[in-house]
Amino acid sequence: MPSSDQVAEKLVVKMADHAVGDENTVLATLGLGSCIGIALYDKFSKVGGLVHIMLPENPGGKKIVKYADTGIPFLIEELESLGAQKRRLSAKIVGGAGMFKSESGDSVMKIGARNIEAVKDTLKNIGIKIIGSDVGKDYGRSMYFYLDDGRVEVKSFSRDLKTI
Amino acid sequence: MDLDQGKKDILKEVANIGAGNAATAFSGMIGQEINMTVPKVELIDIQDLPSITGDEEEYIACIMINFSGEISGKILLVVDMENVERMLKLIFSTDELPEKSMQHSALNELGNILSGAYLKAINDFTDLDLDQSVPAMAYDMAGAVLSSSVIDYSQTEDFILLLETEFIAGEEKLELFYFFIPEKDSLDFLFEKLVGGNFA
Repeated sequence: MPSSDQVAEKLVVKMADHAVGDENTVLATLGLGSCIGIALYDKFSKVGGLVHIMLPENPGGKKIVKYADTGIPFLIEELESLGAQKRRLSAKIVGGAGMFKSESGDSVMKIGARNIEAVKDTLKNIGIKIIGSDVGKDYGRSMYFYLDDGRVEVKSFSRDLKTI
Repeated sequence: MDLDQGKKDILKEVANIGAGNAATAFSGMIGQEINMTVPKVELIDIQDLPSITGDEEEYIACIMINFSGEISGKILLVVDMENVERMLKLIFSTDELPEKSMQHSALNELGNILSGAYLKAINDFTDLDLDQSVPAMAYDMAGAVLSSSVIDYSQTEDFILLLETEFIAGEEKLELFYFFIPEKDSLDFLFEKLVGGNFA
């Protein structure tokens, strides 16, 4: 395990985008609202990747990493080309909040919840286990995925840092 | 989406008229003079949406109003949390803020008034019939809030059209971002109406 931060390369993944790396990499995605960040990790090869999806299903859009059902399989292919094995991959998922509320306190958009369901279904169908998650509720999250050991740190406003 | 200079100029004029009226209403609410930036019309990549107001991890308040009718879209009012407090103090003309529910009501009302003024100006100018929804609110990291606000428009689109105006209030230079986001399908109708009408 690299002992100091300076050896790690940090990559920031934008919305509807993805990145992959090896044990010297930290993958971050900032400000997840109803979007979901999916971190996939092969702990034997220490290869991992992060995809930041916005929507559950791809209706035929070209940007395939924007959607859970096409973004996750795409990330798996990328990881396999780097030496990861699908059967060894595990997942951690973060986001899927309901950010907007009416004055009465009701959540006004349900996309976050639909994203959570689609991400869980897609991973289940592929046979990848979710070993950590911080999803739903009503607040934004930033996530940092450390590929030396696969841990994911989740940062939110006025809440303690959470490691999953 | 194709947006030539002519169409951009039309949208800029729409933003100018709408925001001008909203600025007057805002000024009335907080009792301060408002300076307004020249409206910007931008087609932006959805990936860049989280940082349109600056740092994507900055703590902001966002009031969102949907409008519908002959054209539909969203209005977003964005203020950073520090400025929200100053703005509320001006609205209530006091240094001590009332309880949270009163603060929420005031921001809700601000959303109603500022969107109503913008839409009314567009209506007077174009004769388009527009209704506005009740406001919805979010307080959190800019990236989380802004990305979630227009997520329903990104199903098949990778770009979002923004009409942006910044309001700067009083000596305190309190900043409020005003975004008018017409739905893509409404644009053709809007251009048709405007090119055939007052702009011809």
